[in-house]
Amino acid sequence: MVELTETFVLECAELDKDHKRLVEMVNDITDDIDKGVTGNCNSKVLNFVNFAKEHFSREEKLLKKNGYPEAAKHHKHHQTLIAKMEHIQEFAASAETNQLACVSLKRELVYFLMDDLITTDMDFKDHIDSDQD
Amino acid sequence: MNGLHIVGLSHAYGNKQVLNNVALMIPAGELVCLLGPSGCGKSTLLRLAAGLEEVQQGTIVIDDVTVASTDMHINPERRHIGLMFQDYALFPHLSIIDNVTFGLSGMAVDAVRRRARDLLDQVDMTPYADSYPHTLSGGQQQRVALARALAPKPKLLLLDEPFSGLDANMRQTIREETLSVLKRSGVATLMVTHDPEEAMFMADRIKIIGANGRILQAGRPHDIYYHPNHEFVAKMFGKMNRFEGVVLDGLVNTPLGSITTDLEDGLKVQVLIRPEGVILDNVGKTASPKVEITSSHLLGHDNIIRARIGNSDGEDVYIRVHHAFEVEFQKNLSARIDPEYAFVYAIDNV
Ligand SMILES: Nc1ncnc2c1ncn2[C@@H]1O[C@H](COP(=O)(O)OP(=O)(O)OP(=O)(O)O)[C@@H](O)[C@H]1O
Ligand SMILES: [Fe+2]
Ligand SMILES: [Fe+2]
Ligand SMILES: [Mg+2]
Repeated sequence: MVELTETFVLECAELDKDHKRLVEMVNDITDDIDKGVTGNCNSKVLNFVNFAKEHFSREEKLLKKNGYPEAAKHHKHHQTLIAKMEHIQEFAASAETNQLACVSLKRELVYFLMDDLITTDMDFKDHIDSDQD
Repeated sequence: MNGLHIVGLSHAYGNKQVLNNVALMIPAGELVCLLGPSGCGKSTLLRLAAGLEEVQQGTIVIDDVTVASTDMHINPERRHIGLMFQDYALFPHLSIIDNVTFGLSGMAVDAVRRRARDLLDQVDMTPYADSYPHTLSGGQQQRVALARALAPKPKLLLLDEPFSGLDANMRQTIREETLSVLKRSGVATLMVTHDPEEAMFMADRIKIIGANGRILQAGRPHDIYYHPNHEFVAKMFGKMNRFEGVVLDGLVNTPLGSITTDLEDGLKVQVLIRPEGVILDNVGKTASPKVEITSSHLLGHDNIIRARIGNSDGEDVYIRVHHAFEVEFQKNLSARIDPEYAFVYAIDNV
């Protein structure tokens, strides 16, 4: 079970809301895997991937608007994350018939979300202002 | 979430920047390996996590409790951490069982005994409970050190090159045993190693730190090996064949044939090919360039051979082949690239 503790709050309402949603989606998938219910893994992972992509573009817009100096670098980071998600989708496609794919899917989703995605966002925590419009 | 979480950790000694905005996460029950060149800050990171050093910038969270940040520091003994270093010797004047019970304070005497016996049993050292450290082999001492580190049920286990003092055979055995004990204990483990193969064997996830103290890549061992993001990461796993070229229509030409790339046309690039990524054929008629073997070295299961491409002034390549491959009986060999083991990087990408 992943949680969005205080350490990972950006204090930017729209992005925190997205992150919270991503966390919920991952928890939902890993719950299913723990219960051995893997029939919906594939479509749930696809939803996660699509939502993550939408989130990346929302985030990148906001970073630009806030004049974040490393916005281009963060865009590049998101591109590598999008490539990583292809692997995760491959695991999801095998999840129903392969126990090891389930284990890898669960592990990689958690690392992807907490280590690759949200932690890296903490880099711009002090550069972003939620109320600016 | 149970486990370790490190965010934005930077550290300098005087004006020498060692760690540079390092992030890291280890869920309970998982093992993450830190891999990087000497002096890149691996041990520094472990010392910071253990609380042996104060955090200058960044946050360290263990089981959802912040144990260190720029303005706070919880002492090592209150972090519930197990430590095991290469030179983290056992107490020579204490018996094996007393070494294991040493860190178990605040428990009833018989519970302490039970816990220590249980741990010794897990590492197969029960028969040595009343022996003294100097009578044990290096591998046995390392097993006791593992039992001692795990006895207080730490939330996080920190291992700094724990097997580097052991000979190759013993190292492999102890690695396997350690891994199975760790997986059973469910502890989050951060392990530092110099040895890429050890990291591949042990880790659920590998984090590569570059000489600049930045994380270069994080991922499954498979991803690190087959999809290295950087020239530096690719080269960690041993000798590479290297050719230079220019991208044209999404292809780079090498003396062993061309290879596809996403990099833009006109870019000057290097192609790195693992020795197992050069495939030898002896089918006679083929478009692949001819090669001539110039030397061969048996390397356990495999041979590493050196071959010259084309005529006598061609470039040399290193090729990994099965140990049954006997160079004396080969003729009409040609070589081509297995794209799975070939990586293209811009030349200025360091
Ligand atoms: N107490 C200290 N004071 C000053 N410099 C230090 C101190 N400890 C470490 N360093 C320097 O910081 C850098 C990182 O050291 P660290 O021990 O973390 O490296 P490492 O990655 O563990 O290397 P190795 O693989 O050789 O063990 C080195 O250049 C080292 O000389
Ligand atoms: Fe984000
Ligand atoms: Fe992001
Ligand atoms: Mg070290």
